[in-house]
Amino acid sequence: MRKPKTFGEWCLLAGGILTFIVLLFALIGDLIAPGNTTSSYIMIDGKTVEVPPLLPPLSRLDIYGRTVTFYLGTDQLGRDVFSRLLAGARFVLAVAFLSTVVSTVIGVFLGLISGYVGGLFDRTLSLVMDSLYSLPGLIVAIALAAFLGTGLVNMSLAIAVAYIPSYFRMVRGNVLSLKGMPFVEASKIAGASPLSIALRQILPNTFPSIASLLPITFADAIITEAGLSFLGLGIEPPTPDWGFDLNKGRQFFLAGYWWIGIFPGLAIVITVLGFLLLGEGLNEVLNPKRWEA
Amino acid sequence: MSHATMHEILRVENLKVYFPLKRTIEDIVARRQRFLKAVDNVSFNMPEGAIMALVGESGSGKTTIARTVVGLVEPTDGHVYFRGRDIFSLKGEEFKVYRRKVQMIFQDPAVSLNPRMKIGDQVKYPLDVNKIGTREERVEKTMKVLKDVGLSPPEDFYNRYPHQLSGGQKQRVAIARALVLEPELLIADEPISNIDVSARAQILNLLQQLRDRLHLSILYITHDLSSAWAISDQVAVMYLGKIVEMAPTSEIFSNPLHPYTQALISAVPSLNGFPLARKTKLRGEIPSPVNPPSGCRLHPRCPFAMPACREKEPEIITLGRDHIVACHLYSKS
Amino acid sequence: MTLLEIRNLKVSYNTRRGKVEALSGVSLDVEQGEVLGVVGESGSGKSTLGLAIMRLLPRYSQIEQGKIFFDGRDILKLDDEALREMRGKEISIVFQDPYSSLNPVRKIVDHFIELFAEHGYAYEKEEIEKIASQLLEKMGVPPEKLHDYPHQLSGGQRQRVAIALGLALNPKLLIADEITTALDALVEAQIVELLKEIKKEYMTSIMFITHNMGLVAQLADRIAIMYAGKLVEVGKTREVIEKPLHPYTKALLSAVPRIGGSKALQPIPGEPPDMRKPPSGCRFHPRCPLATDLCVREIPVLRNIGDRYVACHYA
Repeated sequence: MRKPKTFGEWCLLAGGILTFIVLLFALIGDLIAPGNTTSSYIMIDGKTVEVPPLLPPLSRLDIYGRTVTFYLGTDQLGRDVFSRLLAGARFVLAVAFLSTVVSTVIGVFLGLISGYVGGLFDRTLSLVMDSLYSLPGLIVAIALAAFLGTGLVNMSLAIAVAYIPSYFRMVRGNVLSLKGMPFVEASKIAGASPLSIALRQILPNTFPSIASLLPITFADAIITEAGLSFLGLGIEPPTPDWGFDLNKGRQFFLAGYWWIGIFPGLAIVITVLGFLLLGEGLNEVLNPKRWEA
Repeated sequence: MSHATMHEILRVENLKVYFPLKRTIEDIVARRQRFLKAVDNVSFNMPEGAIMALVGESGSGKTTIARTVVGLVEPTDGHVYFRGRDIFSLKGEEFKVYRRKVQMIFQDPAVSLNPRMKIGDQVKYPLDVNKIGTREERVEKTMKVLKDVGLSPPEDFYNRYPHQLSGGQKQRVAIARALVLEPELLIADEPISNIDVSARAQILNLLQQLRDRLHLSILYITHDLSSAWAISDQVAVMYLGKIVEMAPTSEIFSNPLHPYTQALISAVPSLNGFPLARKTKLRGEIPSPVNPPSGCRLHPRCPFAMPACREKEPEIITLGRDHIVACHLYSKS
Repeated sequence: MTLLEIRNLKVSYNTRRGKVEALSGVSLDVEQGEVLGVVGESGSGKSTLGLAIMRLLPRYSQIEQGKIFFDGRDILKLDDEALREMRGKEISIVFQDPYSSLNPVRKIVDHFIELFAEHGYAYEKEEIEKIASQLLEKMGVPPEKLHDYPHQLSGGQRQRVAIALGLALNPKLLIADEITTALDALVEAQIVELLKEIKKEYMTSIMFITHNMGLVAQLADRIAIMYAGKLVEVGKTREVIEKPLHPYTKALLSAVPRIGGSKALQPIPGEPPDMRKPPSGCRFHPRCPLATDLCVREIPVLRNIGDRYVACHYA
């Protein structure tokens, strides 16, 4: 791999590293930080030990001959902030992943059909999508979350709806310009059915734009999820979650207990930044603006 | 002109293709619909195994005729007969069968191929779509047709992507894709205009070979008279939706009758600096096909225009063997 | 008198997939009042040559080495302001696309007004209109079109306006880069006639870049054939066409159908070279019927054979 030459390539590198780290921590979280994420006590040698709340970072507890370190301190219920952070990563990323997948699949599918079929169907669906697109994502998600309820799946669906229009518009735009290309006409002349043309000829040509939108949607979904849980929607305590903890931490911040809210907040920022950089870099690589003379 | 022969592959009769124009306020008030008369009463026939050139500049209607014959556009009036059968009266399965017999290659090879599909898969695609043969047979056929167009070794080219090929190679892939269904008629719409000069001869030679080896009939659409001269047996010259002259190739170049044909031939930049036909020059430029001139459409530009030319459309006159021309200069009076 | 002297010009482009050398040491002269035809296919570097002379090369390119002297001045050393003065006034260029040479939201007359203003001419609007009007008429465009927008003109008319703008300040050199490629056959012939008249009346030197041998045969006094970034043959038009010395020139002439000539077309075997890794030695050797080991090893130098310049070991 060579040294990055352009802004986009630096973004790709930086974004790749950041997202890799985040994903890694999410995956191995349980192994490196098996602390108490949801309960206020820990088990040492079969004995239940109450964990003191509001311990600052790098606090240590010497009990029964063992030393337990709370690297990032404990929150207001005595839960290990570090473990909760990593567990939260798993939850947040899972929600973001599920919502991205759902919105992509539905948005692409509808955009493909709408763009290819055209006519009244297309105009109606575009109208619906444009209206949805004009609403801020968070508002849409809030409305749906209130309607659907709590839990990982419900939250993901609520968020997914907000991003369907983006994929719809993009794929539909692609399809409209591809529809008139000679290679599509050649397929018609060969006798291909509209379904075959849409799936085998047109759809693969939308992949680069879809791929460059994916990381951005993912990052956006993380923020929306954080927003929802910050507001207390969609999340069932005591599920570890960055947005929720950020909100709780906010209340304790002024009292001097900064670690409860800062770390989830930083986690959100770093993760979102990572995915956005990745998206920026991917966009440049997949949709090159430089051409050969 | 035509008497249907057993060996006639294509016959176009009084073909009209009019495209409705977007209505302006004036149109709505006057309650009228204006049309772009892309093809306006065109008739010709094409013998089997021949290469026929349709020559014209922009707005002549030649591409519209191509797209109509291949079924992408429906005529407003008139008929297209393929081996005696009216193709626009065919329905469903029958039309699908017709489709396989007539294929087309396009002008710009860069957009004629799917950029995200392997060459081999693209060429094989028509076979997949028509469910011809087993999977192995389709691959075998694809390999064979790639070899036939000169893309050897075919295994190598099968797995490449369009951006890895030169313009000439891409066009040969497009030809291979058109051939894989074993068509009887190939419509070639300006196949060499977007290709490097040195590669054009390859494509022209290939088309002739295909005609010789496969008894393929080719309708060759072009604005380039030199290539029409080189490969075609018969030439029809079009202007603003009408055929103005049609004759066997040698005849039309040695004895061009219509002023437009003469102008086209004398405009060909020859290597020795001398014009190739009686130097006929037309005034001005091609008018918009939306509002064609009255009578003979060339009259505002024609150095030989007479009063009749503005008033009446010239009839189609046959002179000699198979030489037709639509010009008042040659009418009986 | 030699108007333009290009010596050993090397231009490369930085592309994602590597560095591409578009011009590999081109040396060429253009005399005052002559029409030089530059003939080549895609990848030959002919358009790069025109852009380099105008100093209009894109950002992702560089002039690696070489000199360009125009009217005695080294134009590779000019600063931005001097370049802006030079463009349009001493050297003009007209491009292939008649749709993008003109600003679609400005009337034709405004193009002229801007041109004069940018070069510091303090003419009144009426004066400019008069000059423009006369110029348009000379170019065969009805002067009323001055007050139209570009989309109201035909492709041929747009090209004529572009040529008029190019000639308005009476430049010594006009570079015409494939100016008729996008035009219909009859319009193309009209433009060629127009250029012949311009040459006679204004005595402007014209560098006519094209892939069409027939066009240069009509217009050019001398032609320069380019292949893969190098000059392969330069000479008087008539002589080169009747007696081509370089195998590529010969092949090019046999590959193009000519009405009245042989119907047996000889395509040039092989494919155009990949300019990221051009062939060693003589770049034409993979496709040349005369190629030998020498051709693979050694780059042929552009040699003088009488009036002709040829870059071939066996010419």
